[in-house]
Amino acid sequence: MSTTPVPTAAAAPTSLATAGATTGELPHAPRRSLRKLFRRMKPLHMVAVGILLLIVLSAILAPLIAPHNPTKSDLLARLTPPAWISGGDTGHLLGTDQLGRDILSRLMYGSRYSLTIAIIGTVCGVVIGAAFGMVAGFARGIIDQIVMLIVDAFISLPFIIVALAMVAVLGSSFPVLILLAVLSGFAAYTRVTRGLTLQIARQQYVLAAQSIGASRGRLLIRHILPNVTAPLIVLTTMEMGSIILMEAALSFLGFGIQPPTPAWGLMVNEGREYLHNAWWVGVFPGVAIMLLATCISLLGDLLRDILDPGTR
Amino acid sequence: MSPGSAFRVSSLHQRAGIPVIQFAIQRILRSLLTLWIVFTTVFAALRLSGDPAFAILGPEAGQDAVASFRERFGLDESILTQYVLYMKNMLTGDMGDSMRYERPVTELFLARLPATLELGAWALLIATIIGIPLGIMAALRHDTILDRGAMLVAFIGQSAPGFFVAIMLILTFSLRLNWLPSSGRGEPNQVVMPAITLAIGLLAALARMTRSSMLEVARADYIRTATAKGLPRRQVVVSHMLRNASLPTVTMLGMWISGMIGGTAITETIFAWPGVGNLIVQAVSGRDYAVVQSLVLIISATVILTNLIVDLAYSWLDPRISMTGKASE
Amino acid sequence: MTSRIFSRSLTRRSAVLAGVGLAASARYASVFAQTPVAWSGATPVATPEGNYAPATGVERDAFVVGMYGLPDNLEPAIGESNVSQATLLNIYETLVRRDFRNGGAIAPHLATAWTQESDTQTVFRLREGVQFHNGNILTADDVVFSFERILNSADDSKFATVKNTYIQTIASVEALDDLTVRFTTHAPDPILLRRLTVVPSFIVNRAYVEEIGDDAFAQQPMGTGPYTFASFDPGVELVLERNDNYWGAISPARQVTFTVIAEVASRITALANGEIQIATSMSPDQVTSIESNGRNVTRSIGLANAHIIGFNGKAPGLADKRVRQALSLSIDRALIIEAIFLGRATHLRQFQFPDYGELLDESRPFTEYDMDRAKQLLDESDYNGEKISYQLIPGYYLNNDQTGQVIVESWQSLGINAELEVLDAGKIGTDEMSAHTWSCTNVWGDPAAGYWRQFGPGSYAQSAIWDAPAEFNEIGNEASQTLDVAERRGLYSQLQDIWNVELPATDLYAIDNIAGVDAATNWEPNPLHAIDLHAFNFSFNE
Repeated sequence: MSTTPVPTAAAAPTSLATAGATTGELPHAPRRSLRKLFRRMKPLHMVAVGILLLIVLSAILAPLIAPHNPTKSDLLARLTPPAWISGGDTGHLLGTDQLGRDILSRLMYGSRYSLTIAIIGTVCGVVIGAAFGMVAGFARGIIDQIVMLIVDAFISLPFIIVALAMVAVLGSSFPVLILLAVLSGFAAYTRVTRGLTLQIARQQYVLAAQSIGASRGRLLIRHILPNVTAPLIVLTTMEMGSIILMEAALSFLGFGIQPPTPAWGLMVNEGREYLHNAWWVGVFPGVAIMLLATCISLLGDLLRDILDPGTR
Repeated sequence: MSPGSAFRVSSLHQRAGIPVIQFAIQRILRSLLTLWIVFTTVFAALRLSGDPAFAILGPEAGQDAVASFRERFGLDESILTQYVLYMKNMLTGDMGDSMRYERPVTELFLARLPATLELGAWALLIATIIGIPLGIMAALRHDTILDRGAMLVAFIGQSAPGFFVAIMLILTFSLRLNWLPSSGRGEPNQVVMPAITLAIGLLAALARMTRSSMLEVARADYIRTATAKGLPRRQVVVSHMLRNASLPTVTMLGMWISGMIGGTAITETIFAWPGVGNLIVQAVSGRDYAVVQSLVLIISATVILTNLIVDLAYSWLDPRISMTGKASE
Repeated sequence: MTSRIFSRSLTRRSAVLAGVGLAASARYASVFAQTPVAWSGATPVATPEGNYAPATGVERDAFVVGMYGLPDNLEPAIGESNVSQATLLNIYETLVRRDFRNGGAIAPHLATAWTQESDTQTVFRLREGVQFHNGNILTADDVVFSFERILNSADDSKFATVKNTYIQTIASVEALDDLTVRFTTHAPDPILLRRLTVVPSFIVNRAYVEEIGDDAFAQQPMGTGPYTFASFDPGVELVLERNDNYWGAISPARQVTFTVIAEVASRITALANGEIQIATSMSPDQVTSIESNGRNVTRSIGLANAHIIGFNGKAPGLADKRVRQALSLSIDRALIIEAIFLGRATHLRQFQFPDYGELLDESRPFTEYDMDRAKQLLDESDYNGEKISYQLIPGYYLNNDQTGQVIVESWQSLGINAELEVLDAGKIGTDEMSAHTWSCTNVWGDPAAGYWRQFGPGSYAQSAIWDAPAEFNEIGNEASQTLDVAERRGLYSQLQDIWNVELPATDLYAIDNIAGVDAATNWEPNPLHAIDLHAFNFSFNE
């Protein structure tokens, strides 16, 4: 998600969802081995995965490897440039911000917030969305209508307004941001899962199982769920990038994570007024956001390659 | 990604569908219901979010000012009364007055709309003129360095947060190079950076979408048939591939356009572009109820309408799709 | 007989003389409106030349000012906000003004002379031949109307706040003839003239306002000032055209546009590119880069506005005065001013503004920083680990988030369970307030405009967050009704002692108003945020 609600996956889900539509084949659950994974990887993918691992590691190890305390201010060292520019200081590789805090350390700690919100938000979003979608697609009728109505309502609301209103009501704490992450993605998961469920439910073997009295739950779990997993995983990585961008945008607008927490979007916001004289305050966190979102996207691409070789 | 998506089409229901009129009526009714849900949610959220008086009058407002403000805008009535009153007004087309500017919302909205439309139009133009050919080229030069390069650029473009792009553009082209102005509207060069900012995400998505749609279709049987028949490649590309690849593109464009009015918010704020997005952000942080409620309603209505049009466009573009009833939507 | 010019330093003796003047002016009262009466009041000394922008004769067609915001509407009587104060004084004028090039002394504006007839009566002589923008001639009746529309307004009208907090001392305004007006106050008012220099004391035209009504008037302003109203796009831009029939020197720019550029970096860029000629609300960090291209300069002046911390005495932990005093003592204001504001802010002497002039008590120290005493007070107090939040509104007060974080750290090192919190505008005025950022504007250049105006009897502060001792209100009331300077000094000193103990709020600093300006433009910023484009403050070198 950039400034506009460009639908990444919502408008065009993976072809696994539709392969059945054109050829009548049943999408099957992937059982690939890790070896196949490495074979399919292109250099670009490897770089992306490498960077992601780096970011995750620095998030986990931040307290051990960050050179400075990310929230302690040091007024005498305000707006120090990065080490390679004159006036810089090797103690602060990427410079300091308007309160003298080390930017590199803040980036490391900040990755924790971005990643945590993205991961938890996505996982919750997928679980909830998939559940809704499966129920809607399977049950049909009035339940389906209601679920789709809610989804429609969500999709037609400009998300920025939902976010702003929600923050205004509930404040801008961590749980609220996770809630927003869930809300931003679940519509897509619901729709895709529902579509898949609709198709799968019509397959001969499912109808057969139903006719011999298999319970609904059993049908859902044994037949539908496995076939929904693969496309959902791919969708997930794509949405995760959106969530990272959404959290950054909200923090940027001042509605997300609050100071002095070192969230990346917030750091870009704080750096806005120093573009003229201390560009590093806003640029490095912005680059970090882009990097993380790009790598996750590429990871999604890689996963799609593996899980669904029919599409590119 | 393939033409036709699961939730728009269920070609498993390619048996004769119900007449279009009945379908349209059903859709419209559902849309109205959706609108009502949207409206009520926003109404509730705003009312719960706190007192607009201080947000609008400023933190130093005196108690007298606050009291008279509340009375003027009916905020001292019960919530239910306010709700009913507002619903009634909506139905008669009265969108109320902005609490901050004391002008009718309609007036403010119409004054700002051209700016947003202009920005959106330019962004759309840039994105399609660059993005679609880029995607086609990448598809035709599949697996070459050109293809990989174009896709990498597309990935980055889709992952760039809009506010960051805006800031980098200002830093480079306004501050350092002095080539372009960084704010306002009026001169032709003032629209360049905001339009580019807005276009980048869509451009990248269009490039990727076009490319994969074309690749998908290229493998399909009827394309091979056409090529085998000896049709010139150009004709194959244009008449067959593009036509079928355009379906998801149309969906995407439709959703982008419908989301444009609210989606320009951040870009307009950073570039001081006097459009509707700018107005919304100010109104939400200022708890300007009438403005937010009315604008959200307008935006939602636009999205719903655009979706309807896109659905109709679908049936024209792909005759295999019919307007069936329940399960497809 | 002689009448004396009203001034703050009116002594008992001159009050007697003024009483003699009262007798003389009684003669005027009996003569009715139409024929102007010979004015025997003396004219105040003209402010010396050389403090004004040099008249160069150079004109420009267009001039653009970049603002962070604009007023929501253009009604002069309620324009308290910074952005209203910034813009409206070019359309509307007051009877008298404060000449900030001359230490804030009262200078003639629409009134050319004034006399104090008694402790509670002041008579003004209006300038002759002043035209409103629609051609109507200014008369005393317009002055009467301008004040009566506020004084006679209902308690729930939009004028209520200014009526009760700005001009509550005025009892009546009467026209003695076409060009003579008498103001009567309820009690002796030492700062009446000062009240008449700012909101809501702008003079409007009765005929015009009565014809189009108050609501339309807020969107279509019309006054006597050097610029006339052209158009207003709320939140976007305000366009003014030069008034070629202005009574004073004509301003050099034919058209002036106030345009909103909320983004600071964009404002600076626009200035650097020449798209705007004044960029307002700049921060000290940006001064060097603004001046770096040689085409622009920065100009600054100390603002008559202090950033303060308001303590909600009803919040847990803040009820005990010793805690409040400790919180105040633990803030190193000098360091903050030096490090965050780069020296461009003023450290106040216990909440006193430098422009109190004769009423400034220089024996008071600059608001103190004393960690040891703070710790001692905290130990003595009832503080028991309650959470105290420093609440700020992001982006509202300059560098507030930086200062806030430093202050929270100071409090934490004092042993307070302190935390930074973003205050949502919707929570203001509720029980959720703790220690929150606020500001106090010294509109009149007098102690009556400092914490007294904001924390005095009848204020929101006293009703919601502070139980003021009766003594505080009594002394303050007396001080605002005493004309004698020496007496007032003594009273305000007593008031200050009470304040220092109670401390419902503490002052931080008064920041500078820094603007980036096109180097060829002669223009000075103003302590009350005004972007004053009268010719005496506005000319071009090229």
